Amino acid sequence: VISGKIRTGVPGLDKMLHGGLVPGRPYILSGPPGAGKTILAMQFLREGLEGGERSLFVALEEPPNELKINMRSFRWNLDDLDVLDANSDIRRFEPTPILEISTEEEPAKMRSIGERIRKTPDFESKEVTVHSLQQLLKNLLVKKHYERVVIDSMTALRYFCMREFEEAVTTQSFMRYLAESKVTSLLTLELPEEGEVPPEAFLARGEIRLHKLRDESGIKRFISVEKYKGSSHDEFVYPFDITNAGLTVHTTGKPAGGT
Amino acid sequence: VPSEKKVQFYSDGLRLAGVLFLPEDPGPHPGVVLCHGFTGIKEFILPEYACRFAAAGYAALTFDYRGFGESEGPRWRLIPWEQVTDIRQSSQVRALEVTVHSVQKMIKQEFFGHLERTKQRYKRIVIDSMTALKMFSMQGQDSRILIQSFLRFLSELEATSLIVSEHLDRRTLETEFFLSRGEIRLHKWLDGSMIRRAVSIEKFRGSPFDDRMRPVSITSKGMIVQLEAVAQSQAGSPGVQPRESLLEARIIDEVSNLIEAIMRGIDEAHRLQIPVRDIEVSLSRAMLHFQRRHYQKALKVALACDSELKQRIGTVPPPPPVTVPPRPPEVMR
Repeated sequence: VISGKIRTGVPGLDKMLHGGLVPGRPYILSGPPGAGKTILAMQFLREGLEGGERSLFVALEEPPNELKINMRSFRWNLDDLDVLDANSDIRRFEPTPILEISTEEEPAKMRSIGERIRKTPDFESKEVTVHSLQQLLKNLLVKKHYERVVIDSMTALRYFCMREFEEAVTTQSFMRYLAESKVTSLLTLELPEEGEVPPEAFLARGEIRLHKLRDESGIKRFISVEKYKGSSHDEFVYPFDITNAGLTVHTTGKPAGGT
Repeated sequence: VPSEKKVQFYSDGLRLAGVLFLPEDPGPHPGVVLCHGFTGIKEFILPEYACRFAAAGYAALTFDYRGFGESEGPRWRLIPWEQVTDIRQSSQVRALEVTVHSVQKMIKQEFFGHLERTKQRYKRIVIDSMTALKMFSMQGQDSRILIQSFLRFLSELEATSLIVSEHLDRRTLETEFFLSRGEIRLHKWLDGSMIRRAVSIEKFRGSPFDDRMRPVSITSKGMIVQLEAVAQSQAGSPGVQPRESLLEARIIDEVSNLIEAIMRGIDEAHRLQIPVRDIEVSLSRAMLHFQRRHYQKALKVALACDSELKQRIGTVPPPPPVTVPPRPPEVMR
């Protein structure tokens, strides 16, 4: 076991990971829509903030103002969290110049994010491509020395910031870049309700998967560690709940199932 | 570069083939119909003109008269009056042009027009349906980006929008399902000869919610949700699509009996202090498959657990070791 693991912010999950995450590596957090990925990712960043680590959330699915409102009910102190708004503007169909997101863009502190959505300016649209985002992250990591980064989500990055022909190669190089950058990163990944796992899962050093099962009596949620290079880990699938305190994993008692 | 797309329209019941050349901007554009000569076809001479027109901001249509080129109709005849009818019918082509940009433009004009006339913003918007918009108005490789942009457009209007979408394939990940802030799912299934309906909430960012499947009925007052009841599908089996065949019902019984037997076996192993942790792990996987209704997979994993467990406890003799051929007698003493 490698010493010096860092905590994820979810006690049960740390136990499953036999102490936490090996720092400085990228990890995948996968699950279907509505499984609780963004909440877990926030707990990971909050844990960092509480220990005085510099932390960054890169928002590709949700406008930051909504993220801020949604996280309020947890009463976590996220004021010092840096949030980078990487949502593309409304695309223009008129032949006006499209501007790539500036590689000098600055993230905003959570405390300073306003209540209302940022509006696409009238005469120009900002487009986020994987290339400009990667360059921007490079600059930010040098300038701000982040220790924890969340990319929410890799799926949005692949769907909206890449051309189809470059998907495979570019995803790979983005993941490699994160691995080399020595920051502990959590990349969320949307899973379909059934079927194949997207290729990103194979490229990361570890994968934490959230499962969501529905029947008429409700939604049951489970969590498992699918892969964890360089460390032993728990192989059981455990149930978890989402409450005012975020994700609570029930590692005591019987693992998944138990009729 | 103007875009070219194949179109078709009908004249006296015959399907006529055409090509529409469009300028880059979203339009609307003035139109030009380019007609080929006697015994010509649309690919002959006309495309060059059509490109020039499109480059100059016109929507240009070329097409084959009935009986010519790719169009239907009897061959080897040429009746000018029928060709005039064909030309007149070409105006149908315009009606085919609904693009996501034109929809967006319409919504925007209506939204801000309404705001100007009444000093009030639209607070609620329904898109019925996203599936249709995707199928008819944004085919091609950039459709995900177009959906993202369209949803961003709706978000920036700051109205509450409800997007009707059909989830056709559970194995694909549709953009609107993960970009939306929540998902309300309607279920419908056949119970004997009755149609049963239910509603559930699958996702709701920033809020807790009731996660049960509630029965709904459609009445003269609209849809009514029965909040006190839980949707009952057949035989109490988990039921998103609660139609299980007899075969499935049998495999469910088999797997659940097997899982129970394995759990008893594990308890027994614990009592005997035989290490079975790896079997417990596999069993938890089998249960997950079971709850996901992947019965075949669950059965396979459970069977493997069962045989491994039996072997360890010793109720079944271990399989014979890999057969070693008997040594030839001369070597033996």
